[in-house]
Amino acid sequence: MSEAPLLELKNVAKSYGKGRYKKDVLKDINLTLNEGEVLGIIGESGCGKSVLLNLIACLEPVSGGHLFFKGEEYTGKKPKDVCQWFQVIFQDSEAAFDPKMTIRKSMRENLSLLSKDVSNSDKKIDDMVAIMGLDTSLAERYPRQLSGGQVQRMSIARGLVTEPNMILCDEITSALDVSAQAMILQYLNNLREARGLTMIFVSHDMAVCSTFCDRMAIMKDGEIVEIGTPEQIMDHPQHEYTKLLLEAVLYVK
Amino acid sequence: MENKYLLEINHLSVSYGTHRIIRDVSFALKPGEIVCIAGESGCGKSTLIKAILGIKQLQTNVVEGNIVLDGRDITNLGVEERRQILGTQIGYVPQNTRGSFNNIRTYDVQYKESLRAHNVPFEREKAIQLFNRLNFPDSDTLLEQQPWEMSGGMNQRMAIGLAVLQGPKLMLCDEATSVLDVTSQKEVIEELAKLRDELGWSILFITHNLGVASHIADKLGVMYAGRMVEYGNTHELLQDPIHPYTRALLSAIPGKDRKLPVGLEGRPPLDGAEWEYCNFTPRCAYCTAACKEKTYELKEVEPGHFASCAEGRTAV
Repeated sequence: MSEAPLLELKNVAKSYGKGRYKKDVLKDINLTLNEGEVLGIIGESGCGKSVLLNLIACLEPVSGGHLFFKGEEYTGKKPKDVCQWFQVIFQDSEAAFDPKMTIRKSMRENLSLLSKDVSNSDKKIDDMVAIMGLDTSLAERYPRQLSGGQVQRMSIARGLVTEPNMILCDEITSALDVSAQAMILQYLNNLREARGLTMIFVSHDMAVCSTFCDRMAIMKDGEIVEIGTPEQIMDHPQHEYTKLLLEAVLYVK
Repeated sequence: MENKYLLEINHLSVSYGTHRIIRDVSFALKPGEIVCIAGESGCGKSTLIKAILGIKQLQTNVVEGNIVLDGRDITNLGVEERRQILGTQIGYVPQNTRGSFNNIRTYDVQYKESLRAHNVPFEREKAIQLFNRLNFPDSDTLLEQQPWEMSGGMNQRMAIGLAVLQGPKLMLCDEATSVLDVTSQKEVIEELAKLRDELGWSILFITHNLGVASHIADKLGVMYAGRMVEYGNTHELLQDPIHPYTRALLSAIPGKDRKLPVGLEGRPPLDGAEWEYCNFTPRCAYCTAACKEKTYELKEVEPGHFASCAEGRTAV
């Protein structure tokens, strides 16, 4: 039998509320993700793409279905049990850092949660900050003293410093200017080429996803309506909704 | 004398307190034209709109230059006079229209109230006709609804509807589509273009999205750190960008070819408007020592196409 995929989701569902207030946010999601793969998840606001990431990282319990990591089921585990596998990076990174801690201190905290040995943590942090193309002196600053793009890169560095198996990116470039967004995409692409980083990249921007994802999944109302390589999705869309989304992408003429 | 331009901005410099945000920006808008000002966060594009609105509470302070609306200098109008032109002559659609409506009152009431303040009679039929013309869904029941029931896109449209009913000649849109989903964004843009075609409107559209700009604008201006670095016809400007910053900005946008976009390291200087020489020099790939000797100047490089610098330009 071939090796189990890094991440597998079987019939995952999520609903909020009870009785007549019950709202199904995710319905029957099936996904597999192999090591080294970058999956883009695209959908409009409210389609459940962020909830899906929360479920994968065990930040919220699933209402149904099963989650597998390297073939082993981990449904119902606590966030602290899975944080050595997954690190989530959020859209608003400035809010994800403690405003009263320097960046370095925040990163150290992240490391100390995962291992008792913190002797070489500063070196690890310096290395990772340098890999994200930032000056290591910036780690001494507070989040508000950095620009939006810099904080976002620091936040990726904080996620990667614990050497997770994969990172889950939730709209990480949506609040940034195009030039900062392009920098982040470049650094993520370098990381993927150098270390075979596995990633789920949630975004509402098809153009961004098509530039660097291996596969793209289109979500609508809690369901994945189409999944395929960027070539398949962008050049030969099958589902009506994908076609609609594609038409709405405003490329520079 | 007949006025060729509806809105003229002449050598405008704007500051908040003593902090200068915009320096020496000039452009003009003909009737029926859509002009787009694009640029990254902090380049002063919203400040430009605030200066045109000139509301005292926004605390914009015009240091130099003037703003001419239909032949009349409106730079230093008093509160009462300004009240007469806002709404009825200059319409405004902000980025966050959630904050412009009261969430728990019907649009009907809010439309009436707003129109009465500008001495425009409210006619239900006229409003519904307008909604129909703009292809708003469920146009006959829209007015009875309340903002909290609506999606962001619909709310944005209702704000546009309200601005249109006051019958301005000039519309200022400050990132009016940036908070919307791609599908709603496209629809709103098409509606604005339709308004221009049918009612002969002029629109000043502020955006950070060059894709949006390329679809709607006749003329495009690119701002960087408080200064206009390039200005021209949209098509020409995007086909043959002259300024190094415009080219860097364009290569940072993911394109149809699915190549990884090229980023631009660093960020714009916060005091960029104070610099005498080109304020893009710290990030510019073509910067030489001579750049810091020259003072900034917007030159007409090609007919109707202005740029402050043409270094490293490859002819098309």
